[in-house]
Amino acid sequence: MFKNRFLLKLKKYLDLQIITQEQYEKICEYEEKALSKESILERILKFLIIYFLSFLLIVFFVSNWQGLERITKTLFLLGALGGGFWGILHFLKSNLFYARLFGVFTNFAFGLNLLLIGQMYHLGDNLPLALCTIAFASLLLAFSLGGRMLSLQSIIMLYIAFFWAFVNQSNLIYTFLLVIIYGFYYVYKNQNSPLKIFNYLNVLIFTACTIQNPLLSALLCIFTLGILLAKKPAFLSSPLIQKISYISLSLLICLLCDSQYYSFNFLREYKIWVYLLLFLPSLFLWFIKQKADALLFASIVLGIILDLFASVPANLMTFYYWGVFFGLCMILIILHNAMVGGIILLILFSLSQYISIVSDYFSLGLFFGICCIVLFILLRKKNAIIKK
Amino acid sequence: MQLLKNKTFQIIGTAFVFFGIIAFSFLSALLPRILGTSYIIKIEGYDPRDLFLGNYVAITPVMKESENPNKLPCNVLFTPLLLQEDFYILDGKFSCTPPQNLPYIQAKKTAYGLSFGFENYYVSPSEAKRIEEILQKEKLKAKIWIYKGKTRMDEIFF
Repeated sequence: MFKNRFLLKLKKYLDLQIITQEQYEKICEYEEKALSKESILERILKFLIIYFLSFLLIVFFVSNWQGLERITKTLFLLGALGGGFWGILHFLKSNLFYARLFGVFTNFAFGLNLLLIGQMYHLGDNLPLALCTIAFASLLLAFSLGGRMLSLQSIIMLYIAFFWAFVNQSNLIYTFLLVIIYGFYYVYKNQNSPLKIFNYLNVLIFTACTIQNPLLSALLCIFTLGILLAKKPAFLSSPLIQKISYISLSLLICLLCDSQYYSFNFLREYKIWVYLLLFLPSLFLWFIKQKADALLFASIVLGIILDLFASVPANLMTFYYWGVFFGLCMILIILHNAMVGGIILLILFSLSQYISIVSDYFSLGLFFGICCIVLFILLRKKNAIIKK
Repeated sequence: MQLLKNKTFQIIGTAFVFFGIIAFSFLSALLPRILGTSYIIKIEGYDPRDLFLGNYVAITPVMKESENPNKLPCNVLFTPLLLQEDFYILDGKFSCTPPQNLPYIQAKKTAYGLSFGFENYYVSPSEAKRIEEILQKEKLKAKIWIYKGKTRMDEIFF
């Protein structure tokens, strides 16, 4: 499928005379050679075979093969593990892809071995530890063999171990910190945009699971967003991360908009000066000359404080947040050249508000009116925007 | 350093780590059997039908009195074994230090109550249901191995 799309594009270039006939043929020849080596589909099929073979082993384990002697089971599973390692070593020099497939199998076999020992001797009392061991051991193979498959496998295993430790309230949950630290180190060494987002998500999940205090989590979230928007550790930020930060902010505003439906009473237990700390990111943003972002942050925090400590009518509060949301979309459109993204966000937001609000048509109309006027002014100054 | 970057060396090292972990867990499973002594205790239990972990019967030992152990400050608790006619039951009075002159069992506090180290008795699905049916009518005897409070289940008699 990729190939077809690519060929269509090439033909278009040929018609537009961007490339010559000779170049076109050369590119086609090269692509065909590259594809004939091993098609993606073939790779996926091979991966699936290993995957199902490994799961066959697990099903064996789960169904308690009582008929077999203990020693037979042990030998069978140790044999599977040994075979996996033999396969890796055998294919290491000649075909790295096969070596990695054997790596996936070895990881499954190792996990099965540990679980089998637990089952044979009726242990099963420290499952979080077993899962953690399996996950970190699989990380070892992923480091030495490399490849997306193995990394993905060990990441999934790490998440399972993390989840299990979380459910059992085990202290092993803190081993996840190692993963986060390594992720940041990796990003620092070799720039990798998807991994940046992944790190960001990991940190959010980890803080949400370990820090039970909602205010502390909110503080951390707002600080992280502020720092990411400021592009301050430069190696951590990318245009995509910035957009994700804006989208998270917009979700936060949406949540605050409908605060009459959610109970934010748990926030009320702190004194007002604690909330003033939330202004720090906006001060920081102001000093590094990102004044629009600073104003956005400040207005969100101001909204939270007004909502909690001054008895502003709910209608007025909602209207205030609509204004803030509009400001966010404007920042996206004007400062970040994300015209399409900003407009889609704005349309989705106004539609959702239009559907959810039934009684308060007056303020919604006012909001739409103000939107129209501001957009109209922007349209008049279109040249100024494009220059940016 | 050159050796560490060699892929073959890395794989062999990983293999050693894998087999080392397996050997270690075998050892920890077998240690109470090799060094400890066996006791017959009374147990209760049911079949939780846990698909993720294979089929097992969830087991709790019979205790003379059930005291709330959450009052104690320590995470690892000890309780002595009391001799009845030809089997033992757990005393149920927990303390932070192991008792003198009496056989004892170690328990850990978890999110789901106390863990004695022999909660799961793995058997086939049909066997698990049969054991559960018997356990609903009467309490069964089981053989466990104890070494310095650490326990391993051997078998259930029924």
